[in-house]
Amino acid sequence: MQHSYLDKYSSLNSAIHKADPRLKILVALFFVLSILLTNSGSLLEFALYGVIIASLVIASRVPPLFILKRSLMIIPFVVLISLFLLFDRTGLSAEHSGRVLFRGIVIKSYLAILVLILLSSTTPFPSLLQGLQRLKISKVFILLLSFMYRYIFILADEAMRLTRGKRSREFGAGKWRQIKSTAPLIGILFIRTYEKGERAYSAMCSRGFDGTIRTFNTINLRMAEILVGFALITIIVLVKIFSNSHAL
Amino acid sequence: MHIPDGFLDPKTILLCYGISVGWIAVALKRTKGKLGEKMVPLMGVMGAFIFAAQMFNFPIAGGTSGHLLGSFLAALLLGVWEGSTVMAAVVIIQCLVFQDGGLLSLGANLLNIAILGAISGLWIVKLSSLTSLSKKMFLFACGTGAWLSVVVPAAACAGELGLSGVAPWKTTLVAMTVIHALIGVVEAIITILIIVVIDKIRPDLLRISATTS
Repeated sequence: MQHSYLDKYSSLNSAIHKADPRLKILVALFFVLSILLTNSGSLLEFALYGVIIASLVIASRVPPLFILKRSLMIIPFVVLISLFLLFDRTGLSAEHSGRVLFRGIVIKSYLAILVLILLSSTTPFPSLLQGLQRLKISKVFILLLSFMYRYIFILADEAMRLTRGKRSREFGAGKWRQIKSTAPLIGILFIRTYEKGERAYSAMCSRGFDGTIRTFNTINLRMAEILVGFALITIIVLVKIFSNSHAL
Repeated sequence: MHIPDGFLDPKTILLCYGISVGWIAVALKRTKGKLGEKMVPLMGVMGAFIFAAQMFNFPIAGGTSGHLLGSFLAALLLGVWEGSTVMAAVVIIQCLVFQDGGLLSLGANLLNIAILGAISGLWIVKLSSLTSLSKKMFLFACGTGAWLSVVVPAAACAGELGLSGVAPWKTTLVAMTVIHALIGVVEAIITILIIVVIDKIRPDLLRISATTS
């Protein structure tokens, strides 16, 4: 398996990594919500949020360069929107000019993606799922997600093997030929996957699977963590109040 | 196509989350009732398959390449409810692990890609299977379905952006639809080629989904 780079830094050992996933999910949601509800022209508030995120990144010990690289994901969408705003400016809300609105949107989505990256690179996916389950997300759905996550790596490896084989068989073939030979590989991958799924299910049944997965409860909410979470939320609220009063 | 955070306003976010969560809740209930827990491992594996299928690159004009999106294929192979649930899991993992699409706009992305992507194309195939069509016509219906499963979500995405007051309605709608009409053609071709292979090797897998859902 070659795909452990997915959440490469999620198993570091900082205080943020060790915190209860439920807490991290809730704080992240609150943070993103308050970023979203910021007035597009309020640069001070954006800057302060940026400072909070930066200090969280430092505390988490995840390399900033890694986060920076991942955050470039939003660029295509930003370009798309800016194109729309370039060609047509009618129908926009009257309170802001198009430029301020655009700048606000870009900053908001950038800050939000930083929060999301921080969440996922400080929380291994299985414990994120555990957190979601404890937050009362449907058990069946959590089960589905955990199955899926487990098999992504196996199937990605298989997909890479199939692609490598195809490449070495038809080095330098034309485009249509390549399309025509790649698509069937997906069909083959589907059939293999289906059969894998059936095998996995019967193996689970023969070991007594009855539809529920029992896991150790490894997450425990500690008082100190709750306090830190509350402190963070309070800081975010204070930033909002402070910068709003400053703007007026 | 995955909307990041910051682009949608609170009312659109709430609306989309409401529809998506409601749909998935109903879908989960139906799945559970019909096939019991057996479907869950299978659906999980199929979700991983969609991920892997998106890794295959297809050369298109110039130096660009595209890949399968898979909403229609999932719906065709598993049925509308199961297909959209699987795609929902895919979209959630794309959001939480790959940061593809935002946390608050997750509801909208679920609605577009998982739900509309699964519904929009399949009805054509359903219609065509009522009359016993030739295999060529069935494949044509599948291609049209795959095309729709790309174009309809794109139009919905434009609608959501318009509703949020972020981008002007008409321009966005036209631009998104035109771009995705082209992407949809690629999706249609790839999907047809995939179905041909599955039909050759395990035709039973195609028929099961066509009849049970």
